[in-house]
Amino acid sequence: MLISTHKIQRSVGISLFLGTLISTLLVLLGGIFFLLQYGDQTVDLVELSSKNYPINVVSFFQTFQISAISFIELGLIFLVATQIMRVGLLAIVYALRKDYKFVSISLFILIILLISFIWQK
Amino acid sequence: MIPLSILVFSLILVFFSYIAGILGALTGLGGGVVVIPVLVLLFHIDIHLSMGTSIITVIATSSGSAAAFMREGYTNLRIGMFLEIAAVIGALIGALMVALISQTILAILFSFIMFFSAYLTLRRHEELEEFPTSHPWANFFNLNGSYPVANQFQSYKVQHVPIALFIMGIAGILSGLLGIGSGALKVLAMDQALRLPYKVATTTSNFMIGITGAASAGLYFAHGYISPVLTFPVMLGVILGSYSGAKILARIHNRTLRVIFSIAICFVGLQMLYKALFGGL
Repeated sequence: MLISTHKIQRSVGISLFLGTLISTLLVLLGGIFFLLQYGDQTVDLVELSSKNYPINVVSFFQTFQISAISFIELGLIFLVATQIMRVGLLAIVYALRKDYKFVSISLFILIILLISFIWQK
Repeated sequence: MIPLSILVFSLILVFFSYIAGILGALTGLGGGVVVIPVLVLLFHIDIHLSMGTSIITVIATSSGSAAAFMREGYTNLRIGMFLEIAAVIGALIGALMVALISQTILAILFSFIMFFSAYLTLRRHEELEEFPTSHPWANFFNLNGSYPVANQFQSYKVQHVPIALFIMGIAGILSGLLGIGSGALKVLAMDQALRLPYKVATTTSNFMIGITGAASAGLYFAHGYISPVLTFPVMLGVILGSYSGAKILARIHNRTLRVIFSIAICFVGLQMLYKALFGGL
């Protein structure tokens, strides 16, 4: 029982690491393209500092167009999604082990995370 | 301010974030406490955008180290998930409240968190007594565990669960309100309330920060606090920095560093406080 607990931790840890890695690569890729396009322009700190950048996750995917900025945003969204997927994964794991207290706990957290994720102003 | 190209600006951000990442890895104090003041004080970035950038880096760096620690078997997943109930509710509340609170108050609150973090970093961690029994909630939810010591597993019991939940709720609210990880507070709850072995507390806290951060981040996306242009250099810099920091961790004299870092944090906290009160945030 003890060994399988740690095996579970390992696989959850690996998926977490992979998800974070992928999101980092997406952000890096988008960042590089962004700099290639706009790197030589003068930065306008006042404008940069005062703008809001609302990202609506649902409509982001509906209106997705390939661009440097959208790649960065995709990476950021994917980073948060990795955390949500991790909780979902744990819910499944606990269900398989018939640990229903923790299935409920995981599902509760999952729901809270999804509410936050899909929130629109 | 002299006109900078976007490229140079981004590289400067990467540089400072890299330092932040190293310091975070060496002291366990995370990205938020360093990233936010750097952005606000050095670059005069809006505090909301700084918080958005910070929460992303917090998720990224905690995820990276959490993955490594889980492999080692210190993290107690059950305790982490159980306490996260309180933390994500707190984060949701905090992230909803943040739009209603003035930036000045946020900055003042943030500076106090910095003083508190400096204090927590300096605390000594004595060897905890062995408890023969656990809190009844710990038994009900099966929270007791064991961790690797030499070649065996040492078991431990879990105490004072309700208080830990309460502290976690506060940690969550702060995370949502300020865009920080609240790792230090989480460790406090697990170390002092639950009486977990310190290594279990820190690794489990790392596991939890990503989830709490995700709860806050979702709302920050909606609020518009996460700017891709600011976030990409900072996130990349902090990740590189914490990776480097973790590598040199063994060779650095931890105690001296913590003292230096705590003094620096207090100094920066004072600057934030000053700026909030007199600087027109």
